Amino acid sequence: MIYAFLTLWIVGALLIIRESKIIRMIIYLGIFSLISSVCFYMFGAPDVAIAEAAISVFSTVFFIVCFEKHFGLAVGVSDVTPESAENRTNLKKYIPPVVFTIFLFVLFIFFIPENPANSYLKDQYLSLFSRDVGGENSVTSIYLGYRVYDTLFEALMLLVGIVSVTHLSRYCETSVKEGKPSDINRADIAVFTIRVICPVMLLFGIYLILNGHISPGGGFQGGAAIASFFVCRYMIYDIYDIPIERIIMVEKIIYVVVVLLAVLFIFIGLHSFLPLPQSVYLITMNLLIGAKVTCGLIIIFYRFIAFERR
Amino acid sequence: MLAYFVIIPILIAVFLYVFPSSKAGRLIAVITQTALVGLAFYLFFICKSRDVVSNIGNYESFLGITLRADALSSVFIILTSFIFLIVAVYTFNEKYNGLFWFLLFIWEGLLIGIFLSRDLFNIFVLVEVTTVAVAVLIMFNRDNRSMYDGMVYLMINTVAVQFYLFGTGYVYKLTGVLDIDAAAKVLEELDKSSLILPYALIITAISLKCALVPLFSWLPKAHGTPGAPSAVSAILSGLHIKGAVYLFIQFNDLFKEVVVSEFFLIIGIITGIVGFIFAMSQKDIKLILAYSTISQIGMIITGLNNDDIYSYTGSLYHIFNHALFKSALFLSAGIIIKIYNTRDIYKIRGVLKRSPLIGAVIIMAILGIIGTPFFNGSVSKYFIFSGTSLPVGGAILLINLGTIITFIRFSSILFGKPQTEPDPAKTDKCKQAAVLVLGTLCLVGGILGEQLIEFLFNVKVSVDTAGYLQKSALFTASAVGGYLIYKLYIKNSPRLKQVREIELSFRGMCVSVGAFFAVVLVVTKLFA
Amino acid sequence: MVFDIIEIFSVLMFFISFYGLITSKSIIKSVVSILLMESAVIMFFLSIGYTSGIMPPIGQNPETETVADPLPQALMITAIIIGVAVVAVNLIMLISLYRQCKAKDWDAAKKKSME
Repeated sequence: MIYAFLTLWIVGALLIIRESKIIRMIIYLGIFSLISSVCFYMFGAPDVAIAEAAISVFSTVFFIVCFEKHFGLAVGVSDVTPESAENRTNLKKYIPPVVFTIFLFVLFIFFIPENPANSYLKDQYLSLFSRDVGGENSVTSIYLGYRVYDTLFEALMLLVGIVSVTHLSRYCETSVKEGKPSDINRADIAVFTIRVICPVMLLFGIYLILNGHISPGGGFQGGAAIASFFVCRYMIYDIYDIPIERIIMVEKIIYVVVVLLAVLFIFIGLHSFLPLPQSVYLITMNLLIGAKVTCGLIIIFYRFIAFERR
Repeated sequence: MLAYFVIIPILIAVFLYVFPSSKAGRLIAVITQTALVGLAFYLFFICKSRDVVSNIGNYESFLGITLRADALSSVFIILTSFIFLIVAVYTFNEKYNGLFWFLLFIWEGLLIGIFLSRDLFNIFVLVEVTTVAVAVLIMFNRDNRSMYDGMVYLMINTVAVQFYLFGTGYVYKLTGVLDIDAAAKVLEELDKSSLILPYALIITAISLKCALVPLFSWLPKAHGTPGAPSAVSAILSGLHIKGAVYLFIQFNDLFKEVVVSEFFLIIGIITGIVGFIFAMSQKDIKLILAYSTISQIGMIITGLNNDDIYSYTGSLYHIFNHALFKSALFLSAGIIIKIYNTRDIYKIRGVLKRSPLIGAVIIMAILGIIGTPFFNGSVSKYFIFSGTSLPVGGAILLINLGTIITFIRFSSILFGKPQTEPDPAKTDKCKQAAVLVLGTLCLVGGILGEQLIEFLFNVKVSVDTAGYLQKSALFTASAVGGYLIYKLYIKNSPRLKQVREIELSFRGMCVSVGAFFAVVLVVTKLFA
Repeated sequence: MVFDIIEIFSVLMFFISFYGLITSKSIIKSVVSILLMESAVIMFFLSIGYTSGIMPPIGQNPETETVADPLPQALMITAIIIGVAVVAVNLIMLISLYRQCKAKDWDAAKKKSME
């Protein structure tokens, strides 16, 4: 079963690489992410599967918004300028890169080590996580407990991504087109479906965040789900009423709080002095990270949209 | 607690983002920066007697992430905090917004994090965040050229990091741990042939970060792009690349069973030679400095892989010196570009007459980089040279000769009469003070060279009178030779323009990454 | 040569995206190729220690033999978040470059940026 899905996964990638029309490439990319998500689930990694599903929604949406606004998403639009598109039919040009890639692939396989996987840390984590950090989901206890230092930089990465998107997209503020309605044509059926799905998504996101420590999910996945609620909301109503500047500020403050909380609880080891159950720390961290991810993805999404409109 | 060395700059960064334009905010930043330099020295003095290890969260048996400061990394931390202090003073009066200060201090925290971290995956995260932050700093002014350069920088580095992550996956699979020290113990007991693939994957990524031949094409774009603030270029060239060299040392240590140091010796020499050939053909002063960085990195890598304690120590000291004089040169170049409003080496003339202080700093830095006796470059280059055998030593002399020619050409901006009338801009006291400190340190680092090496690296070295004489004689010969070669062959050669136009596209860079990976695999299989 | 068939898929994907990188003229496709490359590495991490009938690592005291390794999963959540941030930054650069230079492909971007 898993081999079938992995083969589909490879086929999806080949389709993406060979495609020259932007719109098809994006659709294939969405399907590709879905297949990867299923594969992750089959590897016994529901946390990663949810994360991939929730996050890949955003990369697809970023692609769509980006190209819809700037390149146009009509069926015929190619990803290169017409002059270089003409040269593509020449098949001889593809022989050297294909040969080179196959050579590297064979070389790589030739050197793959034969040793079986060493499960030292896996055994340690599985036997110790509920004592050391608490909770029932060992993945959550690793990224909020043992490796919280990594998680701080991960949150920082999102922060850096947001400030860079804000900085780089500010360039076009001169081309203001106030009150211009979005030119996405909405079919009634799409609006209806989104209206039905929206509350479920919000609920699902909150469920993921609050139960991140005992079942698959957590702050990142839940935050992304909640943020996609806002994307859907934009899709239906096409309103731009989010106070972006304020959200950017809130996001920074949440980041500082996350850092301080991690320092207090993990670095200093406060949880061993306080009479609180360990799950309080996990839920609080998940909530904060969820709020931060929600804010971050909303900001990035609206900056992509507002690139032209503000 | 070592983690605070990383967290404090990041918190300062967020603070500066929230209160960007206030002078008080920047003053606080500079003061905390000074305090951080003090803390770095404190850490260094502790590390002289013992390694400082901190397990985050106090989880035993490699469950958590370990930070460790040893004698080497604490020197790098001093260097990092010091250069950032200088740059903070340099940009004190500039009208940058909060984003610039935010990214600058995040960058500092992340660099210190790379020097401290002992966890393979943590290094990946730090490197990736640094890459994005630097890419945004490069395209800070958002002109066409720096947009393109920043994009190439970000994308090629992301590709390289994927190679690194794949290698980390194999290390985890083989050893079951992510901690470098624990992994080293397990890897020692494994069969050599199973180490080759992870080693090749990781070292390909690190070599790209170090800008070795043939993976250096992104460096002049990133370091020399005209739109980037010169403070950013100075840190990139002086400091950022040293993070990659530090990782290079770390990973060669981790995989010491399979490292073919002769291969990297040769790669280092070729990098040095190619670097100066490109450097002497440029006409943009920032690009000259950027390519000269490649050449110096080549020399450092050569020294590190030459199996000799003198060369090794010399290389470490050269890392230190290169940070000083290259930052001085980039920062002064920034001032000059502002005064003359051009970057063309043929149009800038008479710097010494117009602003004697900047001219003097440039002279000191140039004397440092070409290895004049009594300046810091001479000490480190002499030690690298003294540990080598004849062919390698000859190559080192050749690289130094190339550096001399490059900077004879560069120094033509100091003399003569200004062709374009420079606009009488007001000189900034903070900037002058910053570059003056760096320039003076080039001289101090030369006069107190042996003491500094003993102080920083705990290696007792001594140069006798014969060594001094030999050094001076070699330098004088090279300088005269370099001057003659420059006058006779280089000055008006039409080849310069041809060399200048050689440039790899993004696809070419990706091909070279793949080719380098294949070569490392094959060479390691054959010779390790 | 003895190895898991399952990891060959990730290696194959890694080199498919590498092929995409060395042949693509368009910047968009390079961005997509990097996305695929990340996906390959994530799949490789998750396939470490795979056996058929593997269970998610959830519950107080799971059986270690049939349960997936939790550490790669925690790491890969981090990698996915980093990936989406990099994609967002890449895309916004792409748009800005396009708006300034009207260049969709690398060669044109290079030429226009040098002017």
